[in-house]
Amino acid sequence: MNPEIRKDSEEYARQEAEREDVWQEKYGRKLPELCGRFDEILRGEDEGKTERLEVLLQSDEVKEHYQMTEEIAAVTLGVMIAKRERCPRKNEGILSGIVSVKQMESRLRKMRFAIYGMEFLDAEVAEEGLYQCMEEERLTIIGFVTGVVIMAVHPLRVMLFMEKCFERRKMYGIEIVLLEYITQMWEGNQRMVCKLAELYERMQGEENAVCLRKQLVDYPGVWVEREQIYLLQEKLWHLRYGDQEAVEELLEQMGETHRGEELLFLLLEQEKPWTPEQYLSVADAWFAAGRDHIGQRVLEIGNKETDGEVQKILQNMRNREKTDE
Amino acid sequence: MNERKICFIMCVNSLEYEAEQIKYLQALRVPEGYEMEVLSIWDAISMTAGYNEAMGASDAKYKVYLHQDVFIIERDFIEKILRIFKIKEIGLIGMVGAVCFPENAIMWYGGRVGNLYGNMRYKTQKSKLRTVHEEYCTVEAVDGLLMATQYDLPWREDLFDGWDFYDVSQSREFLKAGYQVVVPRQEKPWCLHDDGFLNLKNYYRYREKFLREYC
Repeated sequence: MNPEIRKDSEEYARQEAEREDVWQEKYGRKLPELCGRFDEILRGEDEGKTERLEVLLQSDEVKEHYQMTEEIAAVTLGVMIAKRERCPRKNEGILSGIVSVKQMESRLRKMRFAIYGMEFLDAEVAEEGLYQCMEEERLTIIGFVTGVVIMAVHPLRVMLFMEKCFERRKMYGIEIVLLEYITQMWEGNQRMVCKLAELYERMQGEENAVCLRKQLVDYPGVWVEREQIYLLQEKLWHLRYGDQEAVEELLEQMGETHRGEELLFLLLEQEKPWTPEQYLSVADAWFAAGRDHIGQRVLEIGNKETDGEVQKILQNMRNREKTDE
Repeated sequence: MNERKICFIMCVNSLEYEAEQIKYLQALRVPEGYEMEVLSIWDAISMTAGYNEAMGASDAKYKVYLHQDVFIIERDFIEKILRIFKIKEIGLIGMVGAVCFPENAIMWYGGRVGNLYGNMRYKTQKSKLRTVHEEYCTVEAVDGLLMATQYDLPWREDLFDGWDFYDVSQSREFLKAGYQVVVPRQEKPWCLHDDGFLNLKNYYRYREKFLREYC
């Protein structure tokens, strides 16, 4: 393709139309047949099913021409989730009872609806949707949470919502699995570590709880209640993992706290070191919110905690900008 | 014509989507003194035919035509739309639109404005669109994912008998009739589009039709 052709030009549109026609003729027509091959595997023996699906997904034909189709995306996500599920019991898990690609699409759609609901519908309706989806679709908690990571706009918020639901219904076993997953994948949430330790104590005895409590920060010099610190620290945790909307919420909470900014800086200094990129993205969020002095302080702390790595990245970025100019 | 009524119209082929969308519509706040209705058109032969049928069936002054896979997540959507429609010259509102319509009529190759959460199957995220900073931004065309109107203009079912280009055509019809077409400022997206991958099988055929008719 000629790189000089503008994408909004007639010529480009004609080329696109031609590419589409070729795809439809050469590959689109064969899609039902390909789905038939996946259906056959899905109908077959459970043993090794995920692997057989993966082999077909990895074939050149599928990788090159079908990844951006609804059908193949559904199988790809199904396999991705199945691999994360920890040995589901019989008749449980993302692939259980699925005998066709169409059914896989439907199951994933139901998951998406339940997940969207937890972000955007009333809590009561959303909670109902969550249980209904998990029960009817026989999903494991790990399978569902993997879906959340892929399908939610704000995965961490959805997972916190799920935590509250399980807590309310006293589904402590599931809550433990959920919290273990979150604290492993997105470390550093103090409230959650504390909660998990409590659950261990209640369900599994002292040993694991003691071990976990060692991860908790003491916050020397912090003058507010532990609960309040955790609320603030949790928002910081959201921000650290890319949820920029947490800035507004942090500002709101800081406003309610005497000497809010001072408290925020204290918390930041007592966090276990983040990656340089996390410091940069959090600083960026503060700059975007017009709180430059907070952004600046995040950079200073980040630089100290990463032995100057933050500064190096910034310098490289500036050099690149100069070269581009 | 009922001046205090808003009708949500969708062409549907899936009970699942219809039920889900209704959950979001039921969660909307309806301003005092207004009423709301929902019309699902089943088995439409084309988007324009379905929308014309619904237009004739509802006496609501305000109509919101939306895809079955669009969920309105802004609870004050109705109030916000009504506020913009106080300006009589504005005929059509969309969530995403093209300020300068591209030469080849493919909307996503022009600079689009608006805000939207979209699901592309492997990820759900905010679409990369230019931000509207004023209360609204006038555009040349809006995306058919959601189109809100305060005047009834017939959809061109004589030309667009499929599922493509009905949106751009209707935007042009509003402009031809002397109305403005706009995209409002949305600090957070007002809608989530569970759209997945584009099906372009017939898209370019309708593009040709569009160019012949309007350019």
